[in-house]
Amino acid sequence: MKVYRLRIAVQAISFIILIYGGLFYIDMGNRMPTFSCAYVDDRGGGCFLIGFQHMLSRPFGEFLGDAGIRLLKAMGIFALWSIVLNKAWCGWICPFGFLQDMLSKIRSFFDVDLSRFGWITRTRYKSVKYIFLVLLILIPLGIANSFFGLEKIPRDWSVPFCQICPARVILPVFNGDFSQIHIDFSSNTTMVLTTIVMVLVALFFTTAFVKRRFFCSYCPMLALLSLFDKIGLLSLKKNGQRCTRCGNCSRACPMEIREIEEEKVLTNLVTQDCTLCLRCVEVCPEDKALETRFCGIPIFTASQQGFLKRQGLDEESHTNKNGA
Amino acid sequence: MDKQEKRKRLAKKIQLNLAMTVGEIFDPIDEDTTRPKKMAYFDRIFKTFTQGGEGAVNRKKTQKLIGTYCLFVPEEIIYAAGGQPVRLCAGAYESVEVGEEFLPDSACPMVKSEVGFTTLPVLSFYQQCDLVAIPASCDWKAKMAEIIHDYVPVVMLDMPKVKEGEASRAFWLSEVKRFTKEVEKVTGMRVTRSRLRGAIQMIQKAQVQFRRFHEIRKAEPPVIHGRDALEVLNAYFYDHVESWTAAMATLNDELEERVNNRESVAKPMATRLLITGSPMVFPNWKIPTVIEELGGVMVADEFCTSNRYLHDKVAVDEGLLSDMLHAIADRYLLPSCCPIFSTTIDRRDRLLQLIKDYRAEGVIYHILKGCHPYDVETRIIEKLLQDNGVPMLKIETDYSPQDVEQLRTRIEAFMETLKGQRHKEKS
Amino acid sequence: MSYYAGIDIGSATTKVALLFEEKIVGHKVAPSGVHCEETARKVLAELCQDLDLEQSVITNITATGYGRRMVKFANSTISEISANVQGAIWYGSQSGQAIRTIINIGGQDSKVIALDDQGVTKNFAMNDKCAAGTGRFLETLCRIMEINITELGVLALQSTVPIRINSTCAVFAESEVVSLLARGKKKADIIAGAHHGIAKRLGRMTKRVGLEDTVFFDGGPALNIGLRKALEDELITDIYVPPEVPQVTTAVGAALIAREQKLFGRHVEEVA
Repeated sequence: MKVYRLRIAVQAISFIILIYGGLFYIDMGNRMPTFSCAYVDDRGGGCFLIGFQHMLSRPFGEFLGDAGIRLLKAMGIFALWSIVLNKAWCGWICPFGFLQDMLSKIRSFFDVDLSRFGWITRTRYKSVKYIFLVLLILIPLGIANSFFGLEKIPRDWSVPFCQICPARVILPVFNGDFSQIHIDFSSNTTMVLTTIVMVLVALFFTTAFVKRRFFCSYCPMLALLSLFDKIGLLSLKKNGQRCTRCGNCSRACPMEIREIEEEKVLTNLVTQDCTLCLRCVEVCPEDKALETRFCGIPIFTASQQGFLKRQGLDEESHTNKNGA
Repeated sequence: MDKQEKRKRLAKKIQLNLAMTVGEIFDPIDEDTTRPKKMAYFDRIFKTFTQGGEGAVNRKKTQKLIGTYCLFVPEEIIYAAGGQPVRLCAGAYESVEVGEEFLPDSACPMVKSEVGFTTLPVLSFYQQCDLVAIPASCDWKAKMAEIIHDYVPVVMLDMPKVKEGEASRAFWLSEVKRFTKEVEKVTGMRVTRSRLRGAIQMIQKAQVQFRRFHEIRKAEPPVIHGRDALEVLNAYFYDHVESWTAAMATLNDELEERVNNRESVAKPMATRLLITGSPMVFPNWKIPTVIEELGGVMVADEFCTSNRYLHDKVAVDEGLLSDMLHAIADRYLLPSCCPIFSTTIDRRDRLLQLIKDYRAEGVIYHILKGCHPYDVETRIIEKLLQDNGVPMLKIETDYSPQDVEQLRTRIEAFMETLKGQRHKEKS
Repeated sequence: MSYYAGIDIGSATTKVALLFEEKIVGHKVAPSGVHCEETARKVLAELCQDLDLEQSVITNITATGYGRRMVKFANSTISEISANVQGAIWYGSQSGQAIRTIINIGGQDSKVIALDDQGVTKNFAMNDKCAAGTGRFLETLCRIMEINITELGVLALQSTVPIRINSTCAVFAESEVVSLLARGKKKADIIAGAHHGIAKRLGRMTKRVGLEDTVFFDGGPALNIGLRKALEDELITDIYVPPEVPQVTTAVGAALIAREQKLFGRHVEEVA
């Protein structure tokens, strides 16, 4: 089984479960570290961010009571999910990520070249997701509290990220729900926010078509998940000594992470933007240079043989048969 | 006697001398019964050097011949455009004196030999090239196009020297794309997605055999000599990749059988040497031959003409033409351990890994006189090996056979030192 | 109008040339033997006899070669370099060629002489320390191969790719040749290889003194067509070998010097 095929299969199944799971009475809770949007009626699980934003729009005092416990519980569940699968939520489960991968497939089917970030742009735009994250925490807090004697933020700013999240518009469509495709003129704020989201939706389709996983580099969920990079049970290890720095990994990486190629000292290579899609391990031609482990047990290791197989050379390869 | 006639006779002289050298090398080899039988296929290619290299290059008459230098010229592109690549890096002492007419004394013998063969009709494929691609790797190569462009059509590929930078990678990619256009112009065949994919796979198949071969070489006792390993890869210079792959497959089969039967080419406890530094090209096999004659084994090498030649692989990701070109450009630039690049990081790791994998007891660092990039790295490598407790012998030489006896003495002493150390460790 | 004789006593053979003014009337080659004066006297007498001449008609005799000082009956002696140069220039003028380089291979030495455009010796190199690249080496080769020395050249021409003989020393080369024979290598290839080795050596000497056309090749081994070809290949030039017996060039030169001495009283070297 080739890993990228397996991944597509897992993504497709996850997509079905997360978008249509409700039809089969599947409910995996509302604390999932993935974009299983709460606006999808038949969802099989809910995105953590919407609940998180709701829970945050409370006066500070309430956090000392029930609300605080609920928030901690939610965060605990989120953390648990995250620790078990680490970033594989992004690379293997996220329906929004799956959509982007499919758009990339369509692009490559039509023989359209992919676009890449410049290195400086790439580094600079990494921080955008943190801006989103900070805002999606501060704005809800500002709705219920007043900072430095400023006025409270109006109610129509509630769940600000969801308001501008393109997934909210796109994913319900798969449920036959086109209602999210509209601009809400009820207030100035909603009008601006819904206009922004429509622009972002349009942007999503165009950018995700020409650039792999464009949205992910801005995703605040990735920022949250990356808190668990180093303690996640699923890990990506690198043996720098065996690495020839051929650059296959960073070129194939949908997130264009350069560390995977450049790093020769660090061993844990789950970086901020890594989605653990394992494409790098697939295209690595050096034995044991890259390795995925679950609880420290290797589950997928780079090898010459595997590399060639994945490159479409299925004929029996004798490599290693008689190696000393 | 006019000038033309003189050159013709000079060519004849060089040809005769070369033929004698080939004979000198292959006479004892042919009598060696312990050698793998399947080496004969590769021997044939070099034996054609006695008749002007006619038939050395395996190509159809209609196919365009694209000469390449160094290992930076993407052969995938040449095959995809319907051409036949031939790597022209030369190792013949005979043509050095011809090259000296064009180059300063301080130039390395390799470039002298190459210029010699290009300017004088000795080996036919040097003149038959429809295009010669020269990467501006070292300073000698950078100037080569200007020297030989009267004799063959040349395209220079500029090389970035700091491969870590974004701009240098983009630049190299653009050079690869330009090269693609140049090759297409010569062959009259466009490099399409499917042709390039096919060419990549063809070379990947060769790499399967290449890696298999190197796995076999790790076996104890050694089943093939280091010089034969050089020869096998050297044959790839001239052969069509598919015929080479087929020949390699049969050789590997034979070698595996030898591993099973524990048929060794060396005496038990033979000294295991690793050789690195300036490349060795046929017929400059004096050091491996000396090692072998002294009963040592060259278990591995780290040469751009041998171990490094086919090691790195093109990883096709999306399979688009541009993606594949990008992958090809990266494969030829990024993992290269050539000392023309600013850092030795990759070479250091690779060397240590090879020493470990092949259990080499000592390292011979070969420098061709005038090969500055490798010379510059000597100290760094020496220190690295010292820190890792691996003895190193530095040998600076050229193609002339005159210093063979001195080399023999030095290498013998080095091997004795290694043996002494082995005893010390045991006791 | 008178006769002049030149006697060249080499290590292997003694050569005598008899000139009537500037024309060769006869020459003779014979093994030097142990007593070179004896031999010289005998050869000269035989030559006169052959030509039906009284020995007394010879006005002047010049001796040259290794044994020149042993020939007491000679009127003068001259070094073989000068004699060789005179002989070569004379042969050259006979065929209308300006000789600039002379290669001479003798029985136990070999030399290369460079001349300027006036025919004056400019420079010369000599190998008289070892037998490598000399006639002696070729003789040894013949002995091992069990062939006649006259067959060497013809055999050498049959070879397409000569076998490289690494040893330049005649003694080591001998053992190398023996082992090559034992390995069943073709005689022709070995001989051609040996010729090639000599040519290489001479080529180096020639390069040292400077190569100019026309190249003149004399001495006994000049008879060897294989060696001549090897030299031509090595030097990348045509080589002129005197049409008659190339061994006698030096003797002819000595005779010419004898004449000059008689006519113009030029003394190059007095009798010791």
